Amino acid sequence: MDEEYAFFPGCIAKNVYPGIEKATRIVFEKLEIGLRDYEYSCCPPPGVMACYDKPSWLVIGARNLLQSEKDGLNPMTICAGCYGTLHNVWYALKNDPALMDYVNENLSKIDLKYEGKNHPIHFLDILKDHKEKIAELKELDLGLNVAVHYGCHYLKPTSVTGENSERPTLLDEMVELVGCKAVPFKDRLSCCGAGGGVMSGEPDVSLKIVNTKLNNMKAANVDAIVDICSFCHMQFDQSQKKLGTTEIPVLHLNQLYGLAFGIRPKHLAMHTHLVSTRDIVKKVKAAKKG
Amino acid sequence: MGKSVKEILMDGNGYACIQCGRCTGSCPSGRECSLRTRKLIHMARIGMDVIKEDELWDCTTCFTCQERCPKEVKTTDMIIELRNLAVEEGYLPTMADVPKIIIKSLYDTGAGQPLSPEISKVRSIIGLKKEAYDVSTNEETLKKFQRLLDGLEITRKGGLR
Amino acid sequence: MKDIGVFICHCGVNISNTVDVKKVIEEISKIQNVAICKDYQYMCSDPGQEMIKRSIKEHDLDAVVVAACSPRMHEPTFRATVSDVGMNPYCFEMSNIREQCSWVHTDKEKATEKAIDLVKGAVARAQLLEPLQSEGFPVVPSALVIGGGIAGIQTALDIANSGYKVYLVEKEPSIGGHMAQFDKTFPTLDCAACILTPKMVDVARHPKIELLTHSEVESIEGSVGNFIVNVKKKPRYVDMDKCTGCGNCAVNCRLVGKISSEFDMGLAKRSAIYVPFPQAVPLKYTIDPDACLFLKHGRCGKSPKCVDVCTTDAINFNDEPKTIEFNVGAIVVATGYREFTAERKPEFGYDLYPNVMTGLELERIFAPSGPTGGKPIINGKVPKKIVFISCVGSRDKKVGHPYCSRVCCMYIAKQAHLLKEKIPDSDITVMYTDMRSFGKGYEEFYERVQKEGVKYRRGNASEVYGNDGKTYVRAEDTLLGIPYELEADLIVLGTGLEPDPNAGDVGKMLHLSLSSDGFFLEAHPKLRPVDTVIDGVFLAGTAQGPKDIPDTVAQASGAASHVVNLLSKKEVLSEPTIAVVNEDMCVGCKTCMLLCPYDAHEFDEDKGVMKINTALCKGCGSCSAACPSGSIKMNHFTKDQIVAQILEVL
Repeated sequence: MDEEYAFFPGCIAKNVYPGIEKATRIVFEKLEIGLRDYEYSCCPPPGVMACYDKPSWLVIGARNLLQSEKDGLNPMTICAGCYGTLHNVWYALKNDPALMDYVNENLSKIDLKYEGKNHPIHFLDILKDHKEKIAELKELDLGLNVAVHYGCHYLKPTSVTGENSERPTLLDEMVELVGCKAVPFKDRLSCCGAGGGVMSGEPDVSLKIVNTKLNNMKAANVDAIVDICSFCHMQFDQSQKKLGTTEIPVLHLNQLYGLAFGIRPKHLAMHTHLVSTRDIVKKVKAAKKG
Repeated sequence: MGKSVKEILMDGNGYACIQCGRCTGSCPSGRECSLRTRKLIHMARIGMDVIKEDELWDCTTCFTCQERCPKEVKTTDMIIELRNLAVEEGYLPTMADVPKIIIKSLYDTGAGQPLSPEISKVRSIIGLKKEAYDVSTNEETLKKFQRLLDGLEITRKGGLR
Repeated sequence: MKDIGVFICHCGVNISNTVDVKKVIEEISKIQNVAICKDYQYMCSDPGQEMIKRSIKEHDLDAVVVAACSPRMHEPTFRATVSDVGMNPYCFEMSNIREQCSWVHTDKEKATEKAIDLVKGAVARAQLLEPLQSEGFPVVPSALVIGGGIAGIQTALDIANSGYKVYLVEKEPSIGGHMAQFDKTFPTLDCAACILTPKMVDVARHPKIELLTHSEVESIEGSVGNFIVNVKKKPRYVDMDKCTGCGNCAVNCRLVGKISSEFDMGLAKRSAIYVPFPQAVPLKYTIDPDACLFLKHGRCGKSPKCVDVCTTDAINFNDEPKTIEFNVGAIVVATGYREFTAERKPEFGYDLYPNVMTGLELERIFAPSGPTGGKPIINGKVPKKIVFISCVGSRDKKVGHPYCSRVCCMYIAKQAHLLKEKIPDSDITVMYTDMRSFGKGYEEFYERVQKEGVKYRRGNASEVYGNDGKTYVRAEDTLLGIPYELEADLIVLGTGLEPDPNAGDVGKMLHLSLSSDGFFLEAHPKLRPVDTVIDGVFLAGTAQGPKDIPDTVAQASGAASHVVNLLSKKEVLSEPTIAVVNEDMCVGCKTCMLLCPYDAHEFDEDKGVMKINTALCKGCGSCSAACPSGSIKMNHFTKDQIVAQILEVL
């Protein structure tokens, strides 16, 4: 494999929505991009962990980053939260030698050392260089109107990510590759409300935020929400059950690609989502026939 | 490494703030609750007990305020660091138990969100290993990980020691 | 052996707090050729200077050393002091024991030791100083003003009224600048065109002003008193002597109503042949070569309409650029500003929503000569709900403009007033960060506007968004501590000022520095706002920094007075601290010529040696250092002088 990454699935994809992990493995295998597994721990979350103790967050994050250093592989995330952690930890340690020393002081207690050699990358930034192959692999034009959700930690802070956080277009383009249309809706770049430990620590506020966003999506008559973050994914799927006002199926981009590549929805664990994906499945079946 | 409020303000460029309010105006949480990012910075600067404010925990760290601040004040970074201080002093979010559970799970299993038997089954069905290969796969590795955490503040703040 | 007088300044406590002045005197007095060593609280003061003069006479001193602040502060002061009693000013040496010693060190013992070393070095150098004579250069009694906005116009008139010739160069086809685009000016609500056009006409009529519009400065050489200027007159394709300004051509042009008008900020259309606005000075038409069919494609229908209808046969498609050269004694840079590009703040949706406008665009809507004839019609409708957003592109590090643009608070108040007057039942809110109403009558105007019912809500807007065909502005009302949003038919962005983009080229020609905000750097921020560090080059108007019209006019007159000051002298004295070529040693290799940043070297073909233009040489020393045969000596900075100083300090 010429192109290979250290696969960092994150706790949500591993332990709550394994369909996202499976979809990722399938899509990357089809794209002939290697994914290697390492003894990763929780990233740890930029919400709960960094907010409780930022130094600890740096150390645990660095432990994850260093795992693939010996193989010269860059870690790849599929959750924007994990990306927020790994990328920002990498950036902070790269620019502050004192922090790097602190981190390595702790890591040395278990005979580990972080050299800052590799560079964490979010899966969307890998897929964007494979647009042609994706178009080739596509078996169905899904024809869905979707609400795309970038996820805050993929875009910001732009001083670290280098993204255009006011007018991003990449995810809109990526769903178009498989015949979907990114439908504009009010406050399309707004946070899902789960981050910063709010989902766990202030659940009322978290639900209020996501409720507003879901209603905006509903007003735009979308068939599905497409995200590039397992945590946002979980927020959208779980909160709709709690709120009961909307029933918009939620798909991770890799699940969307899986469907477009002709993989059966069950193999992408779509049947385990809290918000039923039946309507999507129906549309996909129709696309197959047509 | 505990920083004081003054140090947090210095590192976060908080003294440059002109209280223009673009941060609060951009805040998705502020529209739904009483979080006023601008006010938190003001309180910190004039020496009020900002770490006691409940609203400190309503921020989702979406970074929109930090992006839009014309004075390059690192609003979100400061909120995160003020939270560190708040936890230290015992001022916690409303559902303080839940973060504690997550920290405990991180310690015990290496994952903030642990694997349940039901999901393990789903993993098998869809063709993944029933438990992902990670820090908890090898007992030795998990023990080392726990030893690492023993030396970090997170375990003390999470009530584990 | 020379008799040297050394004078140590306390500078209040600036020096004496750290440096033990008495100890310095003790040590310096021991030096053989130091005839007298004294100290004083403020050497630059009258009594201080008197002390130096008396000592020179009493002890028949050959050279003087003053150990005090930086020579950049008071070298000229003390040179004048010693000249007063007949000592050549170049036998004066200044030792900096303030900025380079007492101000940067805290260890008193070491600072005193350092001060002693520095003064010893100065004494060693003073021993070798030679008297030098300044050379006088005749001053050409004319001036160049670059830029024809209100600043350039005012400066030109003031200089011309003093009796000197002025060349006023303006890149647009007409003078008037941005002020010509305004409707009314704050706080008096004078009609901008009404107060500006008389001055524009005065410029056109003035016998001493040569108006070069649609022209650009191509190169400037020379130095104070004698600048050689090359100006390119861009082709108008219209004979200025024949054109009567009747406008028949524009009305009949095949592209009438097709070309976006720059003067109207793209809100109106013009023809390919045009004047920027009806009161243009000169009132002569110009053809836009990027639009004109004949100029672009070689044909325009059967024949160009402008040619057909012009009764004086003024159209000339064969017009070409012309370069003219002239000499001036002084230059004023008045290149003005450009409005901040609103697209750079994407959160305000300027490029997405047609009802989001900039301040200057709204100004054209108000203007009676503008696209709507002064009627407040935006996208075909009269707006009822209006929001102004302040500080757009100002006080904003994200777009590289940390500075305040100074005029926006007031122009927003003015525009809010005008809208309220034209649309009495409108609902107007100004979302502001601070209210800066600093000038004469400004605070009173602000009160008036509030009384007229314009709502001021503190808290800058965070974003503009569109939903279901409507636009909304979000902000926090910081005085209430509540986030809110307002639906608006018209959203006006209080865009700030940035330097004119062409100013950079002018700056490079003149070796002008910029301040950190990108505007031209004045010689001293407090005391010399119209001078630059380049002798003979002055600044006026917003080219030097954002300011309103009263301040612009004041500064323009200030620059003019400095120009007249200079031009009224028969000659300027050059600094003799320049390079000198020893013609016996020079081999004519031209290394110096290639290095010189001021083009001060010339090769004398007959003698086969280099000659230095003493007017251009700034004494930087590059040639002297590089000269392979060591033939170039730097006056007042000879190798011997410098080495003696270094050896003593060590």
